[in-house]
Amino acid sequence: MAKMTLEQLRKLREEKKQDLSRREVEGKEIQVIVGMGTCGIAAGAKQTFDAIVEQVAEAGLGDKVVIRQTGCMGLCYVEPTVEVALPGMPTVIYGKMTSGYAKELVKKHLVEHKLLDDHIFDRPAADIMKK
Amino acid sequence: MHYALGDYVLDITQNAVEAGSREVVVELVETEGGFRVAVRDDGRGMTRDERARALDPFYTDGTKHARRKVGLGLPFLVEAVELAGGSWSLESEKGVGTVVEFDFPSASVDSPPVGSVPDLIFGLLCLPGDHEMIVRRSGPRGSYELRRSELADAVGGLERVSSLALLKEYLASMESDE
Amino acid sequence: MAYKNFVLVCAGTGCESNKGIEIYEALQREAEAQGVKDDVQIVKTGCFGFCEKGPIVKVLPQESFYVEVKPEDAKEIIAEQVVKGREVKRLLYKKDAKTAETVKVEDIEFYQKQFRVVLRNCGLINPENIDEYIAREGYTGLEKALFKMKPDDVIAELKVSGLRGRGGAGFPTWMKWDFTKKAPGDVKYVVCNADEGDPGAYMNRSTIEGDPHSLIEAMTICGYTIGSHQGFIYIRAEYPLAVERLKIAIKQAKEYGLLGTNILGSGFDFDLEIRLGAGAFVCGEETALLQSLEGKRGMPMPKPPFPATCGLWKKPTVINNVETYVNISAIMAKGADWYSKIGTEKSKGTKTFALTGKVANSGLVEVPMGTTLREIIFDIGGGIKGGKKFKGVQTGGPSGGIITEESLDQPISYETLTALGSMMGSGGMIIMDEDDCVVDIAKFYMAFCVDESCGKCAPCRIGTSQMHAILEKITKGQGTEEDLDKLEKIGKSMTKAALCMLGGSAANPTLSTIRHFREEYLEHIRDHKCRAGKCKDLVVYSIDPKKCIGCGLCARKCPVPCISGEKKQPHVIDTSKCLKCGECFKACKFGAVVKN
Repeated sequence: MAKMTLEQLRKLREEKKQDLSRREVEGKEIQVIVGMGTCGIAAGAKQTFDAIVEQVAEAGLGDKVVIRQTGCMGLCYVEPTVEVALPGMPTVIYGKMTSGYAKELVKKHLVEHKLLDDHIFDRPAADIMKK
Repeated sequence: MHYALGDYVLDITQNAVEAGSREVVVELVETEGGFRVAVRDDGRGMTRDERARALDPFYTDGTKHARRKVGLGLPFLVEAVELAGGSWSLESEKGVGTVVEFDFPSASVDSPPVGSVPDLIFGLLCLPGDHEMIVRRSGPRGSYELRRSELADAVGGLERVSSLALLKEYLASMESDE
Repeated sequence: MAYKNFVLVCAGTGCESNKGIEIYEALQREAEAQGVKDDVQIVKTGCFGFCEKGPIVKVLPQESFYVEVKPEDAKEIIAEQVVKGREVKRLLYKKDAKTAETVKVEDIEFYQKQFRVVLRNCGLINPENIDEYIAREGYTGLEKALFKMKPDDVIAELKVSGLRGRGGAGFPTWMKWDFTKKAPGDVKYVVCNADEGDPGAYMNRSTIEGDPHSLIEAMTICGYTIGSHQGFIYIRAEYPLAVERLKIAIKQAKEYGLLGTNILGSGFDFDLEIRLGAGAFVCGEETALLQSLEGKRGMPMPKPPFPATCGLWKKPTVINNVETYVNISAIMAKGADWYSKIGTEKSKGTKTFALTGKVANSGLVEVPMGTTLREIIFDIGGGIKGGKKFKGVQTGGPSGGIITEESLDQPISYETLTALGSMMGSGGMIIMDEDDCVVDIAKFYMAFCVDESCGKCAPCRIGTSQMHAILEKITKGQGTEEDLDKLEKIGKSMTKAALCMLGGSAANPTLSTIRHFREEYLEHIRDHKCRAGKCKDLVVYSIDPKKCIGCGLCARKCPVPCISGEKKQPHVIDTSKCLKCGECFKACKFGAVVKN
C-alpha cells in the first residue's frame, strides 16, 4: 500500500461512513477499556489493544465498539486487563488477556454475548475507579 | 522491564500526558547507529527534588494512581538504557514542563528490539486526553510529522474502533515504500 | 506467680492453618471458665517440627505431647490435666495407631535422633516475647562480642566453630566475614537471605516464626565484626507470619536497647530493615537479591567481584542465609568449642531439613551432620507412608539430584551429597516412592526453572525450555533415544555456561534421574509405558469384560462421559475420549477397571 495523504484519509472515511449508514445500527455502543500502566505495557497490553481493534473491525463491529486505554486498574498481577461494558450484560474485568485471546473475546463476549469464564477477575476497588 | 523499545516510549509518553500537558511532542529518530527518542511536554513539571525522586522505583507522586506504591516507568528506562550502553537525560522545570531524551545503540546486544513503529505511534495517539500530540518520525522510509488533532478529525474521533482501524491503516502506510 | 502447668501451643504457619490460633483461644477461654486461669500459662510457640501430626500442644511439667488437637479438645485438656493432673490419653502421640501405646516425648522416634541448635527455641518460647528469648541465653552472644571481644576475636571464634554457609554453597562463614571486614570502606552492609525459594523448603520460615531474635542478634554481631551499621533482611512476601513476628521482634529489641543506637551502652549503632521479595525464585541468588534490594530487576551479576568487596550499592556486604545466622547466635552464646564437637570433620554443626513427600512423619527436623540418610528417612521420618517401596530422595530442590537406596547409608555432609550427584542445598528433602514417576519429577523441576529463569543468559533461558520440551515429549510417549543424549548434552552445557546457579544446576534433577533410572526413561520411550502410572498420556484405562458385571457405576462417575454399555452387560471405555482422570478406576468395586 502506498503512503496516504491526509486528504486520502478523509476521503476514505467519508466512503466508509456512507457504507455504514445503510446498515441498521441498533442499541448503544459497547465499551472496551484496556489497562495500560507500566505493568500492563510490560505484560503485553499494547498488543492486546491492537489485537482487539483488529478483531472487532474484522467482525464488522467497528462502529458499535468504543475502545480506550486507561492507566493501572490495580490488578497488576493479572495484566493485561480488559474491561468490557456491553449493554444488557454485566460489566466485567478480564485478566490475563494476552493478545491471543482477543479473537475469543470478540467472538464469545461481543458477538455471542457469553462471558469468558476462565478470565474473569474482580471489579477494581471503588476508590481507584472513581479517579 | 519491557520487551520492545516502543514500550518504553509509550510508558514515558504516558507520563507526559498525565502531567496535564496541553501539547506533547515525541521525536523518533532511527539511524544506523541506533534509535533516539525525545519526549517533550508542557505539563506541571518537577522540582529538583521531585526529579531526583522520580528515578526511585519506590516513588510515585500519589495523584496519578491512587493505590499504587511504585513508579516504574523511569527506573525501567534508565536500567534498560544503561544496560545497553546508551544515554539518557531528564530535565524538568516546575510549572513549565519536562523533557526526557534517550537513545539505544544498535550495536549493543542488550538494546531492546525496536518493535513496530506504526503500532507504537498508534499507541501514542490513543493515549486518552484532550491534549495535542505531535509525532516527528525520521527513519529508513523517510521523515514525516503527525498531529493528533488532525488525525482525530480525519478519522472521526479516536474512540470508535472503526475510526481506529482506519487510523491503523494510515499509519501503516506511512512506513511503507513509496 | 507460680504456674502449675504450662501449655505450649504451636503457632507456626502449618499448625495455624489448621486452627492453631483457635485452639489457643479455646484453651484460654476454658482456663478462665474453669477457674484455673492463674494456675496455667498458655503460650503460643514456634514450630515443633512434627508437622505431620499437627496441631501440636505440649503440656508441662508432665511433658505430655498432644497431637492432632482440635479446638473442642481444649475443655478436656484443661479439665483433666490442669484441674485434675491427669493426661488426656487419647490425644497423646502414639507410635502405632493399633497398639494405642503412648510414648514419652523423649522416646518419640521423630525426636530421638534430632539435635536442635537452629531450632533450639522453637516450640519452647513465645516468639513474640523478647523476655523468653533472653531467658534462654538470648543476646549473651552479642554482649560477649561487644564488651569482651574485638572483631578479629569473633572471626577467630567462627573459624574454630567450622561453620559453613547454610544457603547451599557451604562456604566457610569466617572467611566471608573476614574478606568483608578487610575490604576498604566506611560503609558496609549486612544482608540476610530469607527468600527461601526451593519448593518444599520451609526451614527458614519456621525458624523466623519461632525464634526471630536469634536472627536479629546474629546480624548485629556481624555488623560489629565487619564494621557495618545497617542490615537488611530480604524475606519473601509469601511469609506474612514470619514478617509479622520479625517486625514485633525488631520493635522489642529496639525498646530494650539491643538494636539501634548505642546498643547496650557500648557505643555501637546497628539498624535493621525488612525488605520484601516479590515472588521471584532467582532473587534467592545472592547477586540477584542485591539487585532487587536496590530496586532493580532481580538478575544475577557475574562474580567476581564478590559481594564481600562489591555488594549492595557496590559496598562491601556480608550476605548469609537465615540458618547460618541462627547458628552464629548459638555459637557466640555457647562457644565455638561446643559447636565444633557436633557434626563431622569437614561439616560441623547441624542441618535442618524439611522432610516432605511420601514419608510417614513429614515435618521439620534438625540433625547433626554425619547422620545417615537412612536414619533421617526411616528412623526419624518413620519410613514410607502406606508401606510402599522407597524409590529415591530429592535433596536441594530444583538444584539437586535424586539419591537412591544404595546410597542411603552415606552420612550427610556437603562433600558426600555433592559426590552423590546432588547437593545439600537449603535443606529440602522430598521422599519418593514407587508411585512417583522420575520423568514426571524431572519435568516438574524443569518447568519450575523455565518459569523462574530471569532470561539474562542464553544457556539458561534457552536450555531450560528446550530440556522441558523434550521431557514433555517423553512423558507423552513421543520421545526417542536420541532425546536422552540431547538432554545430557544440553544439560551439561547449561551447567558449565550459565551465569548463576539457577541455570548452573537446573539440569541436575534430569541428569541424575537419567543416571539412576535410565530404564524408566527408556520404558517411556520404547514401551510407551509409565510404570508409576503418573504420565497421563501413557496410561490406558480399560475394562476387563470377565470381571465387569455391568453395574454402570463407572459410567455414571465418568466426567466425559466415555463409558458405554447395557445394564448387566460388560461396559467399554472409549479410549479416544478418555481423560485418564481415574474416576472409574476408583469407583469400580469389582476390580474390573484395569490401569496400564
